[in-house]
Formats: sequence, C-alpha cells, structure tokens
Amino acid sequence: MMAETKRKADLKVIILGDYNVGKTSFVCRYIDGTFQTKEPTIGAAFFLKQWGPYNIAVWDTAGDERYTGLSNFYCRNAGAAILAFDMTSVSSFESLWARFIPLLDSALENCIKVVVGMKLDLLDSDRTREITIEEATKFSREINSNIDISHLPKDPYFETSSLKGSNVTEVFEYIFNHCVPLTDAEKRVAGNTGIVDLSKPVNDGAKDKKKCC
Amino acid sequence: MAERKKEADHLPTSESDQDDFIEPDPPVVTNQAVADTFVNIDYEDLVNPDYDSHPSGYIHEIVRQGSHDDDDEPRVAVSSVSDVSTGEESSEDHTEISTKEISQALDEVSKLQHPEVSLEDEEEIDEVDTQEWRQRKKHVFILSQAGKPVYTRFGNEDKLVTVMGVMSALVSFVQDSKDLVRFMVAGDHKFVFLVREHLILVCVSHGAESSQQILLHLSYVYNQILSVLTFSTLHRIFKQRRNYDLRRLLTGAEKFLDNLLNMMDTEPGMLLGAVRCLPLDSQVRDNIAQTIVQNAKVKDLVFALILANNQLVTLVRMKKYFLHPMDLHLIINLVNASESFKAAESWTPICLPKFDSSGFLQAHISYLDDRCETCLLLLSVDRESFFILSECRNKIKERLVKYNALKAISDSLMKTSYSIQQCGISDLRHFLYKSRHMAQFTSPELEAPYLSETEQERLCGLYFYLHHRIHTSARPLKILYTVGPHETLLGWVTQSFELYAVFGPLVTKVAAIQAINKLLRWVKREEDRLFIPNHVTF
Repeated sequence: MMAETKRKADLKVIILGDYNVGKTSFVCRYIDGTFQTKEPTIGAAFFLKQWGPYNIAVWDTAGDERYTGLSNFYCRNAGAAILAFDMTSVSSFESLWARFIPLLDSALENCIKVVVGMKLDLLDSDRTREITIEEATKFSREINSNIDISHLPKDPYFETSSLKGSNVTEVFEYIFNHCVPLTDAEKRVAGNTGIVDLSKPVNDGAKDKKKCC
Repeated sequence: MAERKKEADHLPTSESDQDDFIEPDPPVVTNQAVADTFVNIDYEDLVNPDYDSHPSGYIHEIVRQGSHDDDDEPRVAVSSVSDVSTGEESSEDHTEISTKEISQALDEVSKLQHPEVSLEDEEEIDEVDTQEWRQRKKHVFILSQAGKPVYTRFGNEDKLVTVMGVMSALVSFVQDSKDLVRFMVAGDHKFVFLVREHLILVCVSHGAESSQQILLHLSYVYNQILSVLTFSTLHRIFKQRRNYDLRRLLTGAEKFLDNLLNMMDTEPGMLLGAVRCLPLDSQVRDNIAQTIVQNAKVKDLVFALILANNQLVTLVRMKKYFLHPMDLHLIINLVNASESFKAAESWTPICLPKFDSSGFLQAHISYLDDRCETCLLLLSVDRESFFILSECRNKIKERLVKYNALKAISDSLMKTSYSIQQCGISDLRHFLYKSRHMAQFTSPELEAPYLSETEQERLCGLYFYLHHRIHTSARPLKILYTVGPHETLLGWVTQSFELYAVFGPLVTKVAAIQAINKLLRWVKREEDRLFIPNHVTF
C-alpha cells in the first residue's frame, strides 16, 4: 500500500487466463511489437507502459493453478482485466468463468473486463473454432454488468492474433480510452511510440536539404 | 545433509591441517575397481527428514502466516479441483493392485534390465516401450503414496501407470513389515527409493553414482517439488484427497525437475553441497554487497543475491537467517531453467525447503544487464512489497553501472573460469576444492582430455566414485589415493576442506602429494577471489 503511493500507476491492467493461451506473447506483441513464442511465465511479470501522461502498470500473470494464491496481490485495485482464452480450446474459455472471474472481486468496482480470444491465426488453418462470436460476446456483456457498456464503442470482446499482430493494440487502446481517455493534444504525443523503424525510408533528410537551399 | 549443516556451523579450523601434511600414509591405497558393497548406509544421516520441523523466529512466523492465508482463501487450488473431479478419481485405494497387474508390471520392470527384449511391431510405439527409453542412464519417477504417477524424467507418466503401481506396491509391501525399502541392485542397475510422507521417489540408474549419492539427488528432486508447492500445500492436498493427481499443480514445473536432474549429471556442486562463486576481486565484490545493503534497506527483505551464469556473485542476508546451499541450488535452478525472467521484472513465490518448508517467500527477479547475464533476486516475506523492491532494484542497478561493477561481472564471465595451468602444477589435470565452512567450491575449466561429452561424463563418474569412497558411512576415509587405468585420483578430506584431484595415470604418490600441497597453497593465495568468506548482513 505504501508502495502504491510511492510509484503510483494511474491504471492497473491485469491479464488473466489459462495456462498456454498466449498471454505473454500478447503482451510482448503490444510492448515490443514482435512475436515470440514465450516460455511459461513464472509467477507474474510486470510491465510499465506510458500512455500520454499516464503510467499504466500491466501485470502478466502465470496461468498455472498453483499461482492462484498470489492473484490477490495483483488483482487488487485493478482498473481493467484482460481475460484471455484460446479460441481453439473450450476448457480455456470455461476457466475464465470458473477460475478467473471470482479473482476479480478485489479489483476496482468499475473494473472493465475485456474478453480476448487468442490465436485467431490458427483458425485460418486446420484448427476449428470452438467458441462462437455470439457466445463470447454474450459472456463479455454479462461480466461487465458493473459498468454501463452502452457508452462503450463496442462490446468488450476481441479476437486477436499475436502472431500477426491483429487487434492487439486495439485491445489496449480500447481499455485506455475507457479508463484514462486522452485529450486530443495528448493523443498526438501518445501516437509517437518512440520506436524508430530503421527499415522505413526516412524522408526527413530530404526536407532538411530543401530548408538549407 | 544433517552432517553438512553441522559442518557449515564449524568455525574455520586452523590451517595446521594443510601445513602439517608432508607425506602421510594414505590409509587406503587401492586399485580396486568399483567393487562396491551397498551395505550399512546411514540412511537417516543422508536425507534428513526435518521438513515438518518448525524453525522459529520472526521471519518464519510470517512465512507460515502467509501459508495460512492461503488456507483461508476460498478458491485455493484444492477446493476448485474437487468440483472438476472425474469419477475415476474416486476414493478407491490405488495401492490395492490385482495380482495380474503386478505380474504385468513386473514384466515391465524386468524390461528395464533386459533391453534386449524384442519390440512388438505395433502401429504406435509408446516412448516407454522403446529401446532408447530403457537404455537411459538415469530414470527418475515420482508417484504419490496412492501410486498415482506424478513425474517421470523420460516418457509420459500416463504410460507408466503399471510400473509406478508396482513401485508403490513394493514400498507398501516392505512397509507392512514395519520396514523401509531403500534400494535394490540388479545387475548394473540400482533402484533407489526415497519414501516421503506423501510422495515416493524412485531412481533407476546404471550410472556411476552410488546409492547414497542417488538418494541425495532424489532428495533434491523432492525439495524442488516443495519449492514449487510448499510442504503445507502438499500435506493439505493429500490429506483431503489421497488420490489427487498432483500433476495438475505441477503443470509447467516439470522443466525445473528436468533441468535440476540435468544439472546434477554434470555439475559437481550438488554432490558437494556447495555453490560455485564467480571469481571476482574481493574489493569489487564488497562494493556490490555494500551497494545492495545501502539500497535495499527494506523491512522483511530476507535475502538479496546476484547470480551470473549459475555462479554466486554476492549474497546479502538478514541477521540470524542463513541460506542453505541446497536452497541456493534450487534458486540457481529456478533462474537457470526459465527464460521468462529475461522479458520483464517478475514477482513469484518460492519456497526454500531448508529455510522453511511451510510457506513461500516472495521473489523479485530481474536481470540487471541487457545481455541478461546478471540476475538479481530479492527475497522477501512481504507479498505486497513488489514496488518497493522494484525501486530498490533500479537504485542498485544504477549504482552498479556507475561503479563499473556490472562490467566487472561480465568481464569475469567472459574470461570463463580459470585454466588449470594457472595453478602451475604439472600432472594435475583437474580438481574440485570445497571449503567446508563456506559451503562453496571451485574448480578449473574442463580442458583436454575432458573436452568431449563422453570424457566429461567419465570425469564426473570418477568424482562420483572418489566422493563415494571417501564418504561411505561404512568406512569413511580421510585420504584416498587410487590408480585407475586412465588417471590417478587423490581425495583428501579435513575439517576445513575437501579436495578431489585428478592426475595423469603415471604420477607417483610422492609427486601427487607434493602437487596437492602446492595446490592448497595456490588456493589459499586465490581464496579472496574464488570464495566469499562471509556474507554481508543487512
């Protein structure tokens, strides 16, 4: 508690979900912009993300059952929860309800719970979808009865692929726009990700030359 | 290990041990091959079952409090599991196995010893039916008291239900006559059993280790499980449901067991009950320790340590609390086995069974350099202290960068360890030197002829043999000089150190003894760099 006053994050986002659904890959896709298959997380990993003037604390948790006792620590005062499941596995969807929703009792009262289907890319190949969009959307509405979802731009359900990077940033921005909305001026700053892409052709040099003449 | 604990308490004894040694009469001079007898092993001394002993003290109270908190939480693993139980996990007692099953399984056990048994051509051959599986050097199986498979080093536990059933039958059969099965020897295979309150650990090996050494390895494996679950959890689960499938709770932890077993095959540290320190200038090391002390003054922080490439750089501890080498090995294994700490700061529970098996410490784990070589661990009893520790970590990192300490660490890592030539002793090929009161050891790099994997394995086997001959409880030795076909071995144990040296085969006894006297002087000179004489306290 003393800690939270010391380095206060403006928003705490927690990622929950079964073992091996791809939580860490999801976070890494967002933070680093790359896809890596990750070793199983041990305990929980902490990431700090800047969003405009806000500090966002992201907790990536281990899905293993034995770490359940620890969850109280990182669920407490969470402003947003990403509930991740593997779209090719029914059991991972069922555990959201059975194991993870109860953990969020200690989260903030207006905690937004975003249901995120992982491994969208697998559905393109031979694996079959086990959870329908309707099912998941319905579930995502039910668990968010604590907040007024009619003000949200869409239902808190996303289907993502960390491999291809589809819909990953969208999930985080959806959350941030809801919890810590930015003014237009702040948005422009936030748009600058701070990543320099070396493979991108740089036009600035040409402009500078013109100025010289 | 009880023995080791006592040793660790010993104050450094006088150096007279070393200086007086001119030319002693080695009590046993032998060329005898591995004609070992496995009698009179002091079982209790080796694997001290002091896990439910309750260490007292302020920190231990918090640790236990933490585990009680877990009890109170309504959704602890066990309770959630019972909702999902299948009919198969009923209350029937799995130790009661039909005769048919026993004979069937005995067949399978016998296959372990007779790899020549032909394979039936089936469409799908399970790994456990393959020649390759049977010829593995060292199998480790873990099963519950009810005979349920928990872990196998090779293959799939599900395919080993019958074999494990037999193992559990053997154990309970001997237990019936108020006795304990310890090991069986069949040909060149040893079957070693470690029976704990809720788990049975079995090792089937045809490697160079003695049964005592295997027993030590098994107790490491057992402690690794406690490190993941705590004894309290293990006890609670099996008290509620004898038939519980422990694999549920160990998902993702198998790699720690695998890694630990692989490390034990090649690393002498666990055999010696000692850790290896990264060679560093003592002043640099002091600086690092002081940096930690100054920047991590946090209530309830019990241990702070830096590891680099499985070696200890520094350890800072709370007054009155000690880190047992066995626990330290488990920490090293945790860091060594997982890549996930490299991605971000992590916060994870870890139980140190020798420290307190009843509850968890919380570990803040992070790498300090971009290349992910230097790992800082902060172990606290306060579950909420992540952010405080994270701040400490940033300060420590900042200072260590400023003082060039991180660079010193990576330089030392680059240089690898040291060459045997640096000791300046001809004929000496390799050695292990353990300081008993520090529970630390040192050894030079492996060089020719020990470059190939098979040669390294053979060298390791020589050390196993030498260690076993000296420590066998039937007749413990102080000095052993033995000439083998490829090398001459000399082992020497005093109150303050243990030395195992490997010479070329043609060295004379006199020359070997002169060499180790010289070696001891060299170690003494280098001591400040190779060892950490005492750990700083907060």
